[in-house]
Amino acid sequence: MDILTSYSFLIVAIGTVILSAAAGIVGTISVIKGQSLIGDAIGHATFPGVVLAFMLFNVMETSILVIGAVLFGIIAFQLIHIITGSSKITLDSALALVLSGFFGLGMALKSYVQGNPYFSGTQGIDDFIFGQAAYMLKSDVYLIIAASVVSLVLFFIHYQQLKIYTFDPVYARTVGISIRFMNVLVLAMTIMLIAVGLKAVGAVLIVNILIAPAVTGTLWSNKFMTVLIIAAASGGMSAFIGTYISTALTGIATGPAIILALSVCVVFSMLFAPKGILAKRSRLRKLGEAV
Amino acid sequence: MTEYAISTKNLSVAYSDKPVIWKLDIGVETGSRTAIVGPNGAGKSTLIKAIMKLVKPVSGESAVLGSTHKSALKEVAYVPQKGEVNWDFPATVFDVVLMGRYVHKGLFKRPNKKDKKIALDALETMKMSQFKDRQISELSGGQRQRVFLARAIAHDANIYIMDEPLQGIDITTEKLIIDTMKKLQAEGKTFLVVHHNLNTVPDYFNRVIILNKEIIAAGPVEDVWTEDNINAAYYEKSDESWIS
Amino acid sequence: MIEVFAVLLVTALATSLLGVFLVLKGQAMTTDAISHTILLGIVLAFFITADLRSPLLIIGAAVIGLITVYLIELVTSSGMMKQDAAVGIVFTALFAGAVILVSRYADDVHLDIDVVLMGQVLFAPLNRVDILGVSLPYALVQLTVILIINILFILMFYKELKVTSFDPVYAAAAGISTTLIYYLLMTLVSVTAVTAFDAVGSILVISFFVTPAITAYLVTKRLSHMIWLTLLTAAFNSLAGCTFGYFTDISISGSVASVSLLTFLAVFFCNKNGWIRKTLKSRRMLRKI
Repeated sequence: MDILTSYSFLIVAIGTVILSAAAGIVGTISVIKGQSLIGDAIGHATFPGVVLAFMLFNVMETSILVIGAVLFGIIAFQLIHIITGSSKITLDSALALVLSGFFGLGMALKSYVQGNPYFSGTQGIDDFIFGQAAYMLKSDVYLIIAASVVSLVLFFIHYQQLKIYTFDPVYARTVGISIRFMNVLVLAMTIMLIAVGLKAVGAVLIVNILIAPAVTGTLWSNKFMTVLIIAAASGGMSAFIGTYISTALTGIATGPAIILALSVCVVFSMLFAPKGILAKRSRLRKLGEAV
Repeated sequence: MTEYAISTKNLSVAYSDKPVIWKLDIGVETGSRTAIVGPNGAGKSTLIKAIMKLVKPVSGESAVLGSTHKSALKEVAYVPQKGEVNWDFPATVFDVVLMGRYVHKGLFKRPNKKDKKIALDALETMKMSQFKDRQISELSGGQRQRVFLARAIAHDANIYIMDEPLQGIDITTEKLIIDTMKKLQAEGKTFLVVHHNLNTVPDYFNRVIILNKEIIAAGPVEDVWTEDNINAAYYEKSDESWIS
Repeated sequence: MIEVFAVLLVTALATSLLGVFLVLKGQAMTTDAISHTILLGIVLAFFITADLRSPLLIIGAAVIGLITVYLIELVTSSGMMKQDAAVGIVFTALFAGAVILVSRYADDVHLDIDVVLMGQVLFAPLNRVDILGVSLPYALVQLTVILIINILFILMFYKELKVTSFDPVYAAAAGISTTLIYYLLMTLVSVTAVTAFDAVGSILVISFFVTPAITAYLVTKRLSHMIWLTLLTAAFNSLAGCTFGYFTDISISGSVASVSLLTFLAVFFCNKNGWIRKTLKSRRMLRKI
């Protein structure tokens, strides 16, 4: 019980809950459009950005490292865009290519930094791989809140356009919605959340908080707004549970704990949601009996 | 009773929980050129996939040459829609046609000289010999369809199942495909073809199955190809709406 | 140095050979998922045997690899979510489980996170076995066996792999089991990945699997050419990456992965139908209009 009232737990929990709720909402677009793994590639690709920013400024200041992360996220996305747009390479291949190449670069830079006495306090870099919410500072939480609020405001200002863009891009064009602007908007929101979320969840697994809440939402409803609400709720709830478990038990990183909580939500929904296995099976059985 | 090349009994297929085809009893006569026609979403491609046992039916069964066993499918050469494969695949025209011989090769066996000869002859039949070393991404729509049909000919099956072979191709290729179909039919082969263009049905086929989830009509073209039947399939509203 | 390179080279050849078909089948990200989730198999098997060299680890990893593939198939085919979402959820969930197990219960083992991600190819020569009186690095022997198995697999199932990659529906209709071939391939992917894991880590494993094949795919028109060029590219990447990493004293895995991306980019931008030519051409066209 003391955990729930402890100051440091509350700081971390507020940060992860807001982050996961916002990621749940923003991630829904990519999941419905079938582009959810772009978040994975961007997540991995931010890592060399973090290390390079650290090398340039030699400080473990999250706000500076986040800039490097954002820059490399953008570069990675542009590269994927160019590769798939002007060759026969598929999105699937391009993602694997960029993801492994960039993350490999990050690991190479990390080994250089950690083997070089010129840099100090280099252990902090590791927190960005799997996340270590326990070491999150108040300023990190402010950063998360700021990024989440900005992306949610952007999201709801453009709610109608985003909705049409998500479900019917062809129609969107005919009513004068700029697809290009929508792409940039979704990308900006996604990269922002990934970059501030790295320290909490880590580069390797961050894509999960963009996908899992949205999948949970789509299993329960067909209405965009309802999907968003369920995604935000399941994201926030899982983040709270995950953070609690990782604080209460030693040796459990926050990122993986949140992801396991989210996965439980997904599995539960896959079984019991209206579009889940059990409901489908009973309907199929009825159909079979009707034959 | 006539020996059917392909038959189905009480065949129903559903994707997730929406029925796509419903209680179909079909008999495709051996040596016929049979068209399947129907509006979009009528379950034409699904019917073909069910016959080839690529989807699991909710009820009923399908048989090839009287056998419901999977091995009977060796007698079937399938000609897919052009969009179903990756045309950037690193292969030449000849490579693809030679795939038609794989079905006759057991595990670990490679195509031999005889297989290569058969593949070359099939290319010649489809007038594609000059393109045999071309990469498949460099072909036009009509040429792609010819390659597929050449592969089916190399397969040397008794039954051909084709999914919209005349979609998006040039007039020369269309004529070549129909001529080849008629020639092979004269040799006793059976054709089951998903067809889109209603105007050409009587010219190209001798039997027709009109489908819209259920069978609207089936039989010789001169008997069942009537305005009433076509209207029933294309313009009458289905009494049930599956979109809520 | 020679032995380190030999380990890298054999790993590169064994993985990239399978990678050709993974890329053609559009399963690059599924492979990425496997290369992560096998960690769970290794950890679970390790809890049973408490021996990092036990063959049970390979079996455990292969089983988890297949479970990964099966789960993704199951979830996707039921229509509950798209394939990419399924890949993203399955791999992160299983990997998160593995990370927690390692950090909570296996902290004293050398399964630390750096090793998981980057491997320790520099230490590979320290772990040795005697074969016919010759002392060889254990990893080299293991990976050579895997390479031979993979070569045999490709030779034996060449036509099945080719037709199921190009046209799975036709193959299935012709009685060639696409599913069987696919699971055989994915079993070998899992086994190869876990064998390579210790030496090169999960990040380089995925780079090795797909990057040389994607590079070769850009410029080849026949499957046999693509396979040869893939192997050549893989060998070049490991040689260049290994040399660079060795002399700059950085992670060799990281170095090879970075070089592999650079090689791809060089081919992508500069080949005769590459991005530079294409862009110039379309500029010129625009100017004419």
